[in-house]
Amino acid sequence: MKKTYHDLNEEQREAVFHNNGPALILAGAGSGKTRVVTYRIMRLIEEMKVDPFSILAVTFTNKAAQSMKERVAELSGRGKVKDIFIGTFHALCLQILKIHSPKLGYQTGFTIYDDSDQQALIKECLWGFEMG
Amino acid sequence: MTIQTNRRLLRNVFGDLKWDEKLVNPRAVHSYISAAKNELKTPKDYNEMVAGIFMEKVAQIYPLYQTKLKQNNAMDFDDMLFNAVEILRLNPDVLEGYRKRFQYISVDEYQDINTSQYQLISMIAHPKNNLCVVGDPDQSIYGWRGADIRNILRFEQDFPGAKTFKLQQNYRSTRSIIQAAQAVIRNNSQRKEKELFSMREIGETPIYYQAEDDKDEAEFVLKTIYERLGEPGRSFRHVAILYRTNAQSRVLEDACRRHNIPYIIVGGLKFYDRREVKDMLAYFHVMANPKDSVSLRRMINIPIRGIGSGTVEKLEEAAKRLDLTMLDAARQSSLNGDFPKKTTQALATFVNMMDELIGLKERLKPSEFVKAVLERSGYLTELAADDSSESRMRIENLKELVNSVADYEATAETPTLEGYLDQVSLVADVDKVDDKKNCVTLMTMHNAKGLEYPIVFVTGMEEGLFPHQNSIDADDEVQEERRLCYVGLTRAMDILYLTGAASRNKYGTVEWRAPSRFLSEIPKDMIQFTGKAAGIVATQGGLYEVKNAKKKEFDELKDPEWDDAEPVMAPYMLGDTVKHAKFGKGMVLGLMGSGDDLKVTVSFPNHGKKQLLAKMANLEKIE
Repeated sequence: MKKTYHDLNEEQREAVFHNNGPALILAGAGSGKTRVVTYRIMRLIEEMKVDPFSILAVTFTNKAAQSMKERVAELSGRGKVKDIFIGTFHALCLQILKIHSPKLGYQTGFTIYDDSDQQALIKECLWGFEMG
Repeated sequence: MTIQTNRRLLRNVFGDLKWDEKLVNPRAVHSYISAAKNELKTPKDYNEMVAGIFMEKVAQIYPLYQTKLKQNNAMDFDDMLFNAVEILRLNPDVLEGYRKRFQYISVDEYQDINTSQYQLISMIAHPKNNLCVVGDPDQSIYGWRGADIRNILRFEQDFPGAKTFKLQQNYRSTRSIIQAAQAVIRNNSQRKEKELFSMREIGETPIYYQAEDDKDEAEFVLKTIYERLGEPGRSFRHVAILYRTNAQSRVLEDACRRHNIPYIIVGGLKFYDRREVKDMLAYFHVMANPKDSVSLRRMINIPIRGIGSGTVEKLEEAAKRLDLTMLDAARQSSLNGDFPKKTTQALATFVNMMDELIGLKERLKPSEFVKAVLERSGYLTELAADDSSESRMRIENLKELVNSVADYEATAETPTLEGYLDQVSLVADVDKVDDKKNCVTLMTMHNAKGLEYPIVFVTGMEEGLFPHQNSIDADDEVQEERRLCYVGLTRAMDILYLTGAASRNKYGTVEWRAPSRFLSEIPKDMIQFTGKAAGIVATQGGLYEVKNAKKKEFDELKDPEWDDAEPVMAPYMLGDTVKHAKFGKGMVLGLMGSGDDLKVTVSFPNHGKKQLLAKMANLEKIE
């Protein structure tokens, strides 16, 4: 597994080998950041023996999440990827809300309103004002 | 959009206009509420920071909107984050659970996170802070949506002891493309020091083509695509045409069709936003969440089953009064005979259908269930009865909906209708970029983020369009536009074209355009000028004066080259001070049309922004 690090450049390698504590990776356009993030996850699992279940990787889009899953799977195997939480902020929130939203007074099976539903509801509020 | 931007927007949009209910744009109201939620402001917090009449209005609507959401057992997108943060904040045991679970956290696109996302992540990461964030301040382009670039700029302060790594080698683009992009972004001050470089060949010098108008621009793009496709190894899928606003796509689309070039548009009407798909999703939402009255109102009379809006209103009142869901209110009304016989009958039929479907939901696979809803609801029958091409297209889309449920079923561990709806809620535009089809891709630069194409056209390089008119007055917003430009340029792997039009049709009138300031930021030897622009450079290097002449973006109107194109000169220039009999002195901000149709936009200090017909306004020019 170790020889895979050979296809990283010096800057990438340093980032991948960061262990604990906060880190900021300033990644220019087209500089291979997905590669760095996936290699780092692989290294956490393979070398630092971190339980995949305790890894959280937040992406900006579902598509990015999907491609990260695929790349980690190529490196570490499907079995391990399945336990990593790779997803968007909204996916992470949804997971929290599915379990805990009753604490805020919601019922299970709540609906997530999309743009047009939201507009419809705002219009309803505005009518309320017009009618006084 | 930050609250700061809000205030500015407010001034721009409303000026000193008197408040008028009819002027309230629900979209604007929602974007204010959204901004508040992104900054974790409750209705109460918001009330305390109100500045100006529009925010006052929003402060009134916000609590009402939240109450209604709760009554519907619904959340909007921003609530998902807001509520997740709220849960962790109010329940230390829950927070502790997530802290224990997530020992190592990484966050991608950190330059685009907003306050609520920052809060969520920093809460979970604490106290170990095994938090690895990846991002590029130069590519932060979602400020208008609440992203706060300051999160990445101050990461080291927020997380003491943070290590910083830089990835500066670009593997995508030729050296000349990277040079040009770097030349543009260097003009920003909100940055982290970083110098992108490429080890690829120098490659072709990027070309700027200045077109006569938007049609000429589209023609150039399409003709160039044809030429380029003649080269070995090139095909349609290697080409992307990028623009600043969706409205620009139509002319480009028309040109693609004229030239028989296959294309796809990313971010046009989304599949899940199509009427028939939304109608069906409304059915599913009601089945999954009986309290969802917004969805119920959408589907209760589609297809038409004799339940009019009067009836729906009465049902709503009854539901509120008796604390029932609208479906239960309908059930009760149909039993009590609260309505005329025909309506009662219609309600009873509707309730029966719903009960039957809700029963089926538990027994059938989601995809089977969806088919059952399509048939049992009468939706498909109604469409099939109308044998128009539009109806056929809608039927196709509904079949595609069934396919998408089947796709979901194939991948989910325990597929449920609710799970499918969750997934639909999370789909974003860019997720649907299909790189397998051999098509030219048309999309906004926002949607192009993270993608790459051998040949890229960045179109609409014009002041007022890019940077966009709404951003031109505020430096931090111009910086965001510049980052967007950087994102656009760095999508190109091998060949980069920049195009702009000297005039553009807008709402049926002609608007004159000056080349974008971003062009002038690229040193002359790094970009090649063609089209009308070639003339400008040859005569007096006019383009390069744009940079030093921000006060008069339209100086080019004076250029003799332009006289040839448009012999009728506008009597006013941008930046002119003019006097109006009623509104007093003001500054000219925009010109549209020509001759008798010339419209002048003037900002009057005491009366806000006005658009006036020049012929009627009798504006007096003041030197």
